[in-house]
Amino acid sequence: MTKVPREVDPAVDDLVRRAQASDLAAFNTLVIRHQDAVYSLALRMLGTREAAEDAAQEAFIRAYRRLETYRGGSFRSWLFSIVANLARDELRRRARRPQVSLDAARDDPDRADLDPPDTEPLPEARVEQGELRATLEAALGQLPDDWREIVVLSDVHGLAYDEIAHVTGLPLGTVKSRLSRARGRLRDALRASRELPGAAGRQEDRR
Amino acid sequence: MTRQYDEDERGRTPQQLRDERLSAFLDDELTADQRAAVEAELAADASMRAELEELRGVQQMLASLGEVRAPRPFTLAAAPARASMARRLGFARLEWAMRVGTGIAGIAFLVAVALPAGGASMLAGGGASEDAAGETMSTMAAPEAAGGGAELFRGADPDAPTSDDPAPGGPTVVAPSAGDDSGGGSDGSAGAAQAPPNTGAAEGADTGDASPGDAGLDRDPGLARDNGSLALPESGPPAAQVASDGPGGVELSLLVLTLLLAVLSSLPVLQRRRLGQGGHT
Repeated sequence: MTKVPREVDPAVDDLVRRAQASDLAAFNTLVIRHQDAVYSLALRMLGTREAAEDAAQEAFIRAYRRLETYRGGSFRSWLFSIVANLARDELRRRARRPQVSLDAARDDPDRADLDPPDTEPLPEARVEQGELRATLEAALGQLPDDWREIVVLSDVHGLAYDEIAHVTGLPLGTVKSRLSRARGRLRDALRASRELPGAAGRQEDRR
Repeated sequence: MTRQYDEDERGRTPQQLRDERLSAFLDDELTADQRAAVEAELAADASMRAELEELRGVQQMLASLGEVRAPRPFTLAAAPARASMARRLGFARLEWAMRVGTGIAGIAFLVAVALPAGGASMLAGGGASEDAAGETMSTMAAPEAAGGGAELFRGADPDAPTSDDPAPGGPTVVAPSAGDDSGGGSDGSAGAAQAPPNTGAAEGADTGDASPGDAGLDRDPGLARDNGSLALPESGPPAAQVASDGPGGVELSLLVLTLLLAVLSSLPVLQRRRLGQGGHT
């Protein structure tokens, strides 16, 4: 897979400059452009739609307030660092007073939009693909929070290591090793589901 | 964020190191040398090639998850207020502490100015009993800056009835840091000796505690300055005299106390901040 090319978008820079000068319309254009990415990251990190919406909305409010601290580079990464911080805070709060585990979150009907249901009847190959995907989603949800954050930033959003290091505040070496271990664990889960036919199917039935 | 995995990462197994190389190879995050080394390994090892393909499959599946569409627009209807520099730096709570400190300073200043001017006379009646009540409070809370704050008001109250006394104790309140705590102590007892009759009632109230001012100063000479300013009002009489004779001196001492109070009250705030910061900012 090829990484998404670094975002160096003069149009974005121009919008940022205007937003920094209190042009709300320009800022909202930036919001529209980035809201899917920001919301997706929050959803992958937090697991529930409600929490992800809160984090994403708060992230854009914070982004506006702190716009002058944006110093060039990828604006999307800058937004990611804000929303990831908020999501981490939320995860810490949950850890302090345990309530919604990610397993429980998986049974949350809201979470269905992580895995949008296909309405057409699926050919055999796609059924298998759907099972694998369900297995992957389940395994992703069971990763330690900070591994999941890194693997999502890398493989779902296509960030490079140095960008991930910037977003997470972790050293490059830690990013590298956690990413590898997260992928390794996902690989193991997919392997297991292939070796135990039906395991993925059971996952699918649960939805 | 938790860093609990860092230790595991130091003791990585060869398999993990291999996974890591392959993972970074996949991401094109290796130096040219490292890359060449992995390519050589791959050329020689079919199982490693299979592992690489497996990892590539995981990566592609993750990529296929893709972005989820936002359920609603997150555009802003109105521009939120831009954060002030202080807030961005995380001084919101310190700001709060400073505001409280400033408020106390204002009150203290009003008390210091208004009391000698005559408003004090209305406090004259209750002066002695208030003093006694304050005494117990001060013995409980003497080492605390907050206790000092309480005394600050109490010390200012009973000065009203004795507004024509000379000023033997004045300097000890304003500048008890002069260095010789014994001097401060003797001054304090001297002040006690000259106690006017109505404050004598207050002294009688705390029976058994011969001369609190002296005790306070002798107990902890190392804190002579703090004790001086905080403990002198403890022996009601000298404080009363001091406060009565020179409003300027009282104002100064009140301001010093208030500043001290503001600084001390902000310390726990800062400490809490330090403890609370678990991860990135």
